[in-house]
Amino acid sequence: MSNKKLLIVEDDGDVRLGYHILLNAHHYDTFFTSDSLSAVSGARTHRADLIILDLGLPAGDGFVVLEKFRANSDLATRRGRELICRSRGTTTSCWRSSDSSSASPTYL
Amino acid sequence: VILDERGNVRRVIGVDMDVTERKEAEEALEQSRKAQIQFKDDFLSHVSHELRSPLTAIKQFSSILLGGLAGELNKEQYEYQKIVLKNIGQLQAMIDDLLEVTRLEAGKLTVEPDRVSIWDAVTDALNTLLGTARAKEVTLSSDLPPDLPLAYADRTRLRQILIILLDNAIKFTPDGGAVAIQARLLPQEPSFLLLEVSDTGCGISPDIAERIFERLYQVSEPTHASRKGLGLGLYICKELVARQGGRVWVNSQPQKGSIFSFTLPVFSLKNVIAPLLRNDKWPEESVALVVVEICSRDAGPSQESQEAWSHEARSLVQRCLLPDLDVLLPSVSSSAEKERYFVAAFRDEKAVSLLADRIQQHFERLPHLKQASLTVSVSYSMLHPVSPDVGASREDIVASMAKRLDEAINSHVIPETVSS
Repeated sequence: MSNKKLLIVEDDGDVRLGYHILLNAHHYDTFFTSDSLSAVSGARTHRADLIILDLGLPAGDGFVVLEKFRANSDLATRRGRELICRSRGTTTSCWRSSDSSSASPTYL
Repeated sequence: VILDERGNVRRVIGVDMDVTERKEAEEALEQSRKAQIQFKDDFLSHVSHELRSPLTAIKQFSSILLGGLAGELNKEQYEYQKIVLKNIGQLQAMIDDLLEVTRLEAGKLTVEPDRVSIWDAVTDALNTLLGTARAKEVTLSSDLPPDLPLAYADRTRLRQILIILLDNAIKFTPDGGAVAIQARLLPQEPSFLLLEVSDTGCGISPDIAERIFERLYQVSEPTHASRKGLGLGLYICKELVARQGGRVWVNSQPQKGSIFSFTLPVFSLKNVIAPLLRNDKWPEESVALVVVEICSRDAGPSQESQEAWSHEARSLVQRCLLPDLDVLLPSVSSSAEKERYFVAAFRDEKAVSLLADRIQQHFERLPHLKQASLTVSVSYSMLHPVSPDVGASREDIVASMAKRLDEAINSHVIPETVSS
């Protein structure tokens, strides 16, 4: 069975490296983008099993990306549409709510 | 007024004050006070958010070292790294509390009540804190009657409340002590559930017990010197309970332990539909039960994908509804092959049929509906309102409507439960 693919949208370089080491150790293939533009093209290219999106991207870009993901079903991940947003102290699974800013957090 | 001998006005002495300026100053002060509060909220939210990024990196790399991913650690290095990670956890918890309070005060905290099993919520919270309790050799136990009704609460917020109370109880209980949680119907008011977290800790003196739910209140006795935190937990707890329609209090005696109690409303359809029933529309008001059924042609979709689907389906149905006419009823148990959503629609037949069409169309537009081999059917039935007796109170009307809905839902659910 091939490794699961994870796309991580995160602007902090150290956090990206941390994810890379930890997730590779658990046999995930990781792909990274650091801004809203490359997030959308990255989602298109990699067809990840899971996308981890940092909603705290500069200039509110996290929410822009979220809206783009929502509006374009071809940006969905391979299997179903799973997206986890890191934001404001909680990890939120955003497909599960009509409004990301008020989504109830899922503790992961 | 000073008069002369003949009674005519000679002089008028008075104080004429123009208060425009003062009024303006007061208004300006009020404005600036509001601006300051806004600034404080924004500032706290921003700062706590910014603090999280470096903290995430610190936590990640600490985990990397502990996991031996950068080479084997010796025993001493391992122990120290564990202390680092533990303190990161504390810092993270404090920042989370700070953010939570900011959200509470800015009115940005949402509560989405649904039917919740207290048994599940308590088991989940106890499992989460098992490690913390074990480290102190504190016994955790629960006493939940099997026939406890469902609560009408926000699952995530309930979890938060339970964790705050249980975590506190463990923290203030000496090694080898016991923490217990029990739930039952509130004796005086059976439309509420009562949950109690008791400990064998140091207890709280009455004067402190009154202030313990205040913001930033911390017990400052030397016995608690090891206590770490911002003193926001119980304040958050009180606010979360209040926003779900309950209340929280403490009974305690020094050296004899404490019992923290809180209440939550019992789930009933009445609570859910009451906001939609307006007096002036009854009894002409027609109500329909819309049923959305999602069937899977695959024998057994994985639990994960089913869960993802059910969340997506719920939010799709929700998007088709008008908040002052329709309400999506909390989920009723679904089988693996079939998932059902019920909507109470306070509309006439024509409008209901439009709503049903709209839901159907929204589902059909989903590109991966076919890929997932799911079929969706939307049906509705009109419920004939029971004419209320003369002088029936609004409460009676709501109750009778809830009963009709409940019967209609059961007629959908029960036949299959029996046959399976």
